[in-house]
Amino acid sequence: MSPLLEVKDLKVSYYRKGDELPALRGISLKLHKGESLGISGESGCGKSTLASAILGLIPSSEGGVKSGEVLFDKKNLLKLSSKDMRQIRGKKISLIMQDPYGSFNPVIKLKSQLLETGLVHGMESLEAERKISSLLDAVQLPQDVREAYPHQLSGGMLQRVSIVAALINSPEILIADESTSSLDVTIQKKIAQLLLSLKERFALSLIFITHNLNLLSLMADNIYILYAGELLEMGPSASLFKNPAHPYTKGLIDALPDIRSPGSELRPIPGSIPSPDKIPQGCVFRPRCSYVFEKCRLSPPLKEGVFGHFYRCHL
Amino acid sequence: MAVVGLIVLVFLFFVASLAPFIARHSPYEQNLSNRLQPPTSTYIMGTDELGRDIFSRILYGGRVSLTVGFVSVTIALRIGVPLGLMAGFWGGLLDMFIMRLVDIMLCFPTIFLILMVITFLEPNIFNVMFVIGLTSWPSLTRYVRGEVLAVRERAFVQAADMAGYSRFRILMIHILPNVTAPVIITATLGVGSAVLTESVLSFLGLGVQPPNPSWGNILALGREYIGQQTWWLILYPALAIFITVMAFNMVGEGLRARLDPHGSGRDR
Repeated sequence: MSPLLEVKDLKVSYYRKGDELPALRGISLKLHKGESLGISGESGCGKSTLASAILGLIPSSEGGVKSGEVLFDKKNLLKLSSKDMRQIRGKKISLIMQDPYGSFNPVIKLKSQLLETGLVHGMESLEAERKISSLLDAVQLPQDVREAYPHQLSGGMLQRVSIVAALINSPEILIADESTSSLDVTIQKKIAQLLLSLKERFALSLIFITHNLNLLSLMADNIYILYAGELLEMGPSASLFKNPAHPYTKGLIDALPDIRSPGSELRPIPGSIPSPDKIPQGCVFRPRCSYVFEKCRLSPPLKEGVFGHFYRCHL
Repeated sequence: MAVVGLIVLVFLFFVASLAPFIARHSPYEQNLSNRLQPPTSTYIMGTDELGRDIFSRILYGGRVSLTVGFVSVTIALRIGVPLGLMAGFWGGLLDMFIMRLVDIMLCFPTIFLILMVITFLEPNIFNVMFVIGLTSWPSLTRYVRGEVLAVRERAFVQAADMAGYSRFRILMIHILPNVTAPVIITATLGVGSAVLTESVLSFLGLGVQPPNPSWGNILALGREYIGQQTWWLILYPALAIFITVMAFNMVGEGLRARLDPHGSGRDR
């Protein structure tokens, strides 16, 4: 079966004062229908850039796609005109943003904002009304939130409203970009479960972008670990957490605090992610890796390991 | 303060629109035997050199002043707001062009520009409204542009982008409602300054032409009698102008304190 969305060797750079800062350096991924895909990594690894690039929303004043393809529905999205791309955004591929308060216009009632998102893509207003009310039920919100202004709702409720906004045009792919990160932990889990149940109900395919590995282990079928704009490891989530092949993935998992053994020492990965203008030669993780040896001066290829893993390491 | 201003404004509107019912004398009726009378119970603000009732002339002049204020600000809004929206939202060359135009307009002393235009056109109330409107949009444009620059970076604009809204739709639905507050403030202050400009023009004889009353030309008539103990010729029209402009400014500043989250008004 051919994938629903395929990203091939995507390279994106930002430009600052004449310098080229590579943000994504050859990322490939495949999303199959009905799959839930997780993308994780530290801040600055390129997670959100990837989402923007898929939707064609890298601001041209700041950067651009250098090479690669984003294939969806047999079309390369990067080659579409801005008018055709608008037919994709919000209609075929929707995105839920991180900050639920920021993503709504504070001076307009939620009802009008939801309605407008449907009308933009050619829905009749009656049809949109019906869709909104059924989606409000689906996300377990009372119908009267339509009459509210954004500041009248809590963050968790508002994030549910943004899910309604994202689903109103029955998209095929839903991208959740750190969509639960600004909520508190209990609500995070609820929203995550809600997304999973909506995925089943509406036959969605999910891309879940987060730095929260705990959440990903619940959410994702396959996980991609990004670092400094490169894919370091990918694999099915169950085995990725049990048998990480890349030292970085291992480091990330070890760095998770364990609430059940209080007092145990935190083991953060030493150092920090390199800034895009100082990406090391050879293996990008070399300066922070505890297994580093001579061969790491050369860039490791992506190779296949056990349990369906792919990883980029000489070990 | 703002409430006081608002009460005064409501009172002024009320009085100006009911002028025919309040005034006991026609503002045009001359009575040379009664010229230059000080305030009495029949002529509560006295009479001018032709024996006309100053109180009636001020009431009718108020209609002129308020009309000029509102119409010229409406004209300025129609020009200034769209230009500011376009400059801020699309940026680039268009922004450059519009803002240089604004700079040119702002660095030119407006009153001389108006005087020049009025001397070419016929001095009457319509031209006055028109010219004041055409010269008072630049500050509005600059203000709106600044607001648009701030609003367009907000997350809900990105969200709209990601939901596939067209640029124009984003502008009308998301940007415009978020710049109405500064627009209302600037417009309110603008009405006050338009009233003042109209008075200046009429005072100079380039605005409303006698015998039609206007606060400016009532004042101009009184000027000739300065130093002859006819204080009522100057005091009442000047007070009318002062109170009106002050009221608009007070309401404008009050609105700024209420509506503008990053304005200076709140600190006071």
